[in-house]
Formats: sequence, structure tokens, C-alpha cells
Amino acid sequence: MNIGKDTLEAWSKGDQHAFSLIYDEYAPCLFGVALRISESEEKAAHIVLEAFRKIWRNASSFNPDQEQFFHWALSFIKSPAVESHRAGEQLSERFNFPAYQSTHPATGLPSLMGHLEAQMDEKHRKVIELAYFKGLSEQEIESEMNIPVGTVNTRLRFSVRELRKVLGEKSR
Amino acid sequence: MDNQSFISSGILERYAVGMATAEEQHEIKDMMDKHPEIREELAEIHQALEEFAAAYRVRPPEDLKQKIMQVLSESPKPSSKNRAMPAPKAAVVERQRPERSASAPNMSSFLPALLGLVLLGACVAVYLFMSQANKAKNELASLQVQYDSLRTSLGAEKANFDKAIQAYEALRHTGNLPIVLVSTDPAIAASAMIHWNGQANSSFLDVKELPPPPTGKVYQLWASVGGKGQFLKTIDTAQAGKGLESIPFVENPQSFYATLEDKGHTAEPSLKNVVLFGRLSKN
Repeated sequence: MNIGKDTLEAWSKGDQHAFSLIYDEYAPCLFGVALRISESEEKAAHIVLEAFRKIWRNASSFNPDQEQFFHWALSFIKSPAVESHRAGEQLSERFNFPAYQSTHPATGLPSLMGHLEAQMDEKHRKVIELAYFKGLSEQEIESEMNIPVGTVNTRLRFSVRELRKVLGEKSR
Repeated sequence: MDNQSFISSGILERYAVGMATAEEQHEIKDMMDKHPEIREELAEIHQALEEFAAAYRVRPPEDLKQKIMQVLSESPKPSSKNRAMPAPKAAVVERQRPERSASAPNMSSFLPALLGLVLLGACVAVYLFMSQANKAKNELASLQVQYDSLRTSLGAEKANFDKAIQAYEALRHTGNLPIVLVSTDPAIAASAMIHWNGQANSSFLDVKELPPPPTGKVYQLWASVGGKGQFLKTIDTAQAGKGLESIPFVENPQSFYATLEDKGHTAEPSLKNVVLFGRLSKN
């Protein structure tokens, strides 16, 4: 995923066309993460809608010289998951907004996922998901995966390296 | 700690997923500024995580974009000011202060508008207060004018009432002696009455009718005492028909009469110009 600096600059100045390009580039990935978190297409659609509304509204807080857009945009997807986790509820319980009426069902694009599932242990993928997608703390991951905090850090470090290795092998 | 040990510690992975503490963030930023290879290592970690997320790509519902763009068209344009927020810090801030919910508003973005609304509301309130105060002040001033007018009228009415009571008491007094003054010229419609009271030492004039005097002339009322005319007052013809008015009391008058004189006090009455005359009846 990549988007030009000019497009980001135009978006930060309120250019809706630039924002549309950004949506086209990043919405599938953000929607996929939201779907992974919420396990509901309707909830995921609402998470993404709210996230893009915040992305539009908070353009001034993004600095393309110091951060990557996807990493920044993902924070708007992660926050509902963190909030619901700390409230001790299912994410689906947090969203009381009216049901999202989708007339076009989503279609999965599982090619890369299949490779990761085949090459990475589930516990390695899960620790990345919990930390990177859901934004959980070490203590929360400790509780979620039933492993000590020290092991959380070790596993995260190992999992990211494993991921880089698997992705590297795939690209070769 | 050398670069390799720093990279191997796992701190960059923690930073990349948003788990680094504030102290770790400062340390990493410092190291990145000093060692480009650490910046490159972190960029590769970010890239790997982004590709990991890309593995979860799912084409969103077709109508979602339309809904988002519709929401955008109803939202204010983003500001391009104050754009300096480091990437990791954004993630940590998000973690420390998570959004209340997906649908909750970002209060910081509403704060200027909220303050503006509060200020506007305060201005409106002050304006309304000042308007009400000015209105009340004007109403008070108007009421004060009305009050002063009524008080003046009341004073005048009270004076008239007192005068009427006084006249009524004079007429009812057993010592009252009415004297009819008739016109000396049948061609001139003029008449008046004097109510003289030797017991109460009071006298009243009641002009029934009297034509206005010629220009430069006035009517003067006299009492004849011991054969000599004694000036009592200048008659105001405008008061004709309006009741009794008090006049100076004189003892032992023989008659009362009015003369037409030049304006200004006259020491002696012009007897050739008598227009009204009345004699006390002999008891």
C-alpha cells in the first residue's frame, strides 16, 4: 500500500478527490482488520466509516514526514477494540448504532492470508493481531493468551521477525 | 547499548505495534536521529506489519464509500495547521486516551466551536440583558414622566377641589351675602356675583359672563368703601363661568363694580367706564 505525498497533502487541505484515492487504497485493508476485530460485516463497516470520518477530521495531526499513513490510520480502527476490551464486553456490544444496511456483501481476498496461515504458527499471528490490530497492552495480552508478560514481549519480537522472514520468502 | 543489541532487544517491535512507553519512545527517537540503520530497521518492521494487515484485506461493501463521502460532505474541511505528531506517539496517545466509542465525537476538535458557541451565547445574553435593561430604563423614565404629570394634575385637581370646597362652604355660610353685578350697558351681555361674608371675612367673585376686553384694555374689580373705590383685582375673562374665585376682603363695602381700564394698575377707577355694578342690599 502506498499513496503519494501530493495526494496526502491535498487530503490534508480538504481535497475530497484525494481522500477518495486514499479510501480506495487503504479501505480494504482497514476493513479487513475491522472485520477481524468485530467478526461482523455490519460492525466492521461502521468501524471503518467512523475511522474515515476521523481520518478526514484529523488530517492536521498526520505528519507524512514522520509517520506512515497506514500505521496512523489503523489507530482509528484499533481504538474501538481497545475500548470494548477494557470494558469487558464484546466489541459488538459496544456499537449501539443502527444496523448497517449493506446492499453489497464483502468479498474476501485471502491469498496472502493463506500463505501466512501456512507459514506462521497461530500463536505468533495472534500476538501480532492482539497488539497491532486490537491495541492491547502487555498485561491484557498476558490475560488473553494466558502467558507471562515477559513471554508476551519475547513472543512479539519473535513473531515479527518470523513475519518478516515469511514475507521475505514469499517475495523471493 | 550498541545498535545491534538495541535492535535485538525487541523495543522496536514494541514501538511499531504501539506498546512502547513514553520513555522508550524518546529513546527510540533519539537512536533513530543518531543511527540511520535503526530508522531503516523500524521502517522494515512497519512495512512487515502493514503487509500482515494487508493479508486481511477484504473488499468493503460497495456502498460504504458512498456513505463515507456523504458524511464528509456534511463535515467541515480538515485544517492543515499544527501538523507535527510522531507516529508512535499517536498510537500511544490513542491507547492512553482511547476514543469513548466509534460514534463518540472528538471533543478536542469541537472545543473551539464549543467555546465560540459559549462566547456567542454570552454575547447574546449580555445583548438581551442590556436591551431589557434599556427597555426597562425607558419604561421607568416614561412612568416617571407620567407620575410627575399625574402628580401635577392631582395637585391642580386638589387645589381646585379645595377651592370648590372653600366656595361651597362660603355659599353655605350663614354670613354669606350675595351681590349681583349687572351690566351697565344693555347691549353687552355681562353679569357676575360677589359673595361677601362679614362674619368669615371672606369674599368670592363668580363671573357668569363677560366679553373679552378690547386690545390694550382690562377689566378691574373695585369695592366702594366710604365713597372711595378700592381696587380688588383684575378680572380674567377666561375664568368666566368657571365658578368662584377668592378676592380680597374689605369691610363695610357699599357696592362692587368693574371698570374697563388701560393695562396696568390704576389708582383710581374710571367711573365713566363702569361695565358691571352691584350694591349691597340694606338689611
